[in-house]
Amino acid sequence: MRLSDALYVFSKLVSYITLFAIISYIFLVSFIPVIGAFALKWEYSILPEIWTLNNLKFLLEDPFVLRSLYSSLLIASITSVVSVTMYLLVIMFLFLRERSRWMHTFVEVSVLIPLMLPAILIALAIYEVYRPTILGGTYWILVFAHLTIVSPYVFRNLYSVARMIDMKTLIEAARSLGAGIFTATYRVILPNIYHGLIGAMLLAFAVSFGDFEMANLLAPWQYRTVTIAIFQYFFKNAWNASAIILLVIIVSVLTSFLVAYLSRKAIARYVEVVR
Amino acid sequence: MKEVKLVGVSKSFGSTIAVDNVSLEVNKGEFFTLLGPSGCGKTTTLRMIAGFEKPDKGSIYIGEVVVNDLPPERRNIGFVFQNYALFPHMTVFENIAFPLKLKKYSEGEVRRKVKELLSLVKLEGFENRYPRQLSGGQQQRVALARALAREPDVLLLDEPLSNLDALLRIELRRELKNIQRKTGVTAIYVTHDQDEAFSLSDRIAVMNRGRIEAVGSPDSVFNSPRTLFVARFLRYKNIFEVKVGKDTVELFGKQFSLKDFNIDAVEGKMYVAIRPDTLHVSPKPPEQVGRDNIVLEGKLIDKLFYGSETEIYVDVQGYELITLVSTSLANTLNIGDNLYLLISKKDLKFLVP
Repeated sequence: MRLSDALYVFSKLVSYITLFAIISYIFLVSFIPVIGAFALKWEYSILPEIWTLNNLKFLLEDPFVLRSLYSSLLIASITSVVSVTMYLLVIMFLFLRERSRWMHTFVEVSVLIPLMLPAILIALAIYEVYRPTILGGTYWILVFAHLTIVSPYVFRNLYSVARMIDMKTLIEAARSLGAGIFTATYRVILPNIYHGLIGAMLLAFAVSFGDFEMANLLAPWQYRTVTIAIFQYFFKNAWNASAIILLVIIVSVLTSFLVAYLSRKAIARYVEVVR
Repeated sequence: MKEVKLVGVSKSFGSTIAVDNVSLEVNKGEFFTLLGPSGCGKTTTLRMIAGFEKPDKGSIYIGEVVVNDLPPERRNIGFVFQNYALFPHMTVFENIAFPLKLKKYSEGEVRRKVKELLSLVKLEGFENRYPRQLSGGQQQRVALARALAREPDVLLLDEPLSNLDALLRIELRRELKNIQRKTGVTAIYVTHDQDEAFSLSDRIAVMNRGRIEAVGSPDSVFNSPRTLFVARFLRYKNIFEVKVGKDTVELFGKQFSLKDFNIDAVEGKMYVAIRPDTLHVSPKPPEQVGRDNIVLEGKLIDKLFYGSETEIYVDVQGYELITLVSTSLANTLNIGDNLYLLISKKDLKFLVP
């Protein structure tokens, strides 16, 4: 074997080991708490000393768990639909009406601000402003808060797909052919940006679903989210908290697949219809 | 009959005046071209006719109707974009059928019309292709067919050939003209390419800084420029400043009576433009000059070989005149030779600044 061949094999080996190490790290950190869902005693060993399925039974028995899961799903769904609709309008305005580059940059930077501020700060601000209003005590206050933290993800996703398709010219072409602005958007723009749209919705859903800081401060008592449930159970019974984490992971994976599958089917049907 | 009429139309973007008090009329069935350099306001004018921009002042008529407040979808126009603007998620068939479906044509009618249009633009058999599977020229043909599908009152074309290579551009130019003739649709065409404008149009308007500087048939616009800008834009190579007095004009160091020229002279500074092909060169003084011609004497200072023709540079009283001669004649001439340039008085074009 020549030296160059040996070096090639060695560098390939190093790449694989690095990749395996990184993936293992992600899996270990994510899944160690999940193993706890099956533990009755786990103190001095790598894996639990005594295994049980009782923690899973608890999931079905305690109404607070399912209720919190429902709240999280509800709030995350509303956040993702509202944020995508909202930013689609913003982006259409930017591309169709706004000529100045300055305005584009201004919006691009503005939507990034929530990433730079600690979530707790935004939550406190929203709490102070909206608590005395009609929104105080409803889950909408949390939806409002989540709309701010998801904005960078939703905006960036939609903005990049909108730039790729020359939205302004496509809308003008459709209008010159007799389509009103709504028909043009529905039949020409949406079918060309749906990948970005679904991506933005999934991201918004994930960010909203996984939030704890804002939910802890803003969620009304009857709409406490699943992250609050995990936090509360952690101090009562850590293995129960692990069971909730397992449930959350299963629900998240299923939701992602379901959304991806349904949206693909719905989009295929929709594209067929609008053509 | 007028199909499109603009009366005193102006449009500004911030502090930039894009279109400045433009009035023009386009006849039914006419091929009308807005010609000018980039930034002269031609595209903005076209976009205002389409309804994509709203004029700040003035009225736009399509037929008898003032359309200032009508959105594009209610103007019955067809618009062909520079970058084609085909819908990427639709096939060729679906792109062309789009306006027909909006008009609620029956499925049979849609099929028949799309077939007709595809044969008009010579793209039969391409129905099921997507825009990304077509060449630039083919995409532009689809865009044209799609714009015509609506049977528009006026077809607006915004530099539709400028993204294509030179050979294809010439080929499509002829086809475009044929299609316009066949369909009889009124067409307003925007371009910065004078060859395109002259070969396609029934009438041309030359625009500069938001204003129209010349309107007329290609022949009259080309042969009778009235402003310095138009002459320069139409590549008149010999343009010189001249002094105009009350009754006389000084040309190349000689005085001529103003009556000899067909001009509405402005006293003071004017320009004269001479096309290279209107100067007749001879190494000997011409025997008969005639009352309608003038002769200029000069020295050959340079020659540039262009194949069958050669461009020669002649110094006349300190003015450098450029003219074209056959290469066989040019080969008999040497730098420094005395030359005589004969020009008809009507070929001297007097221009206002």
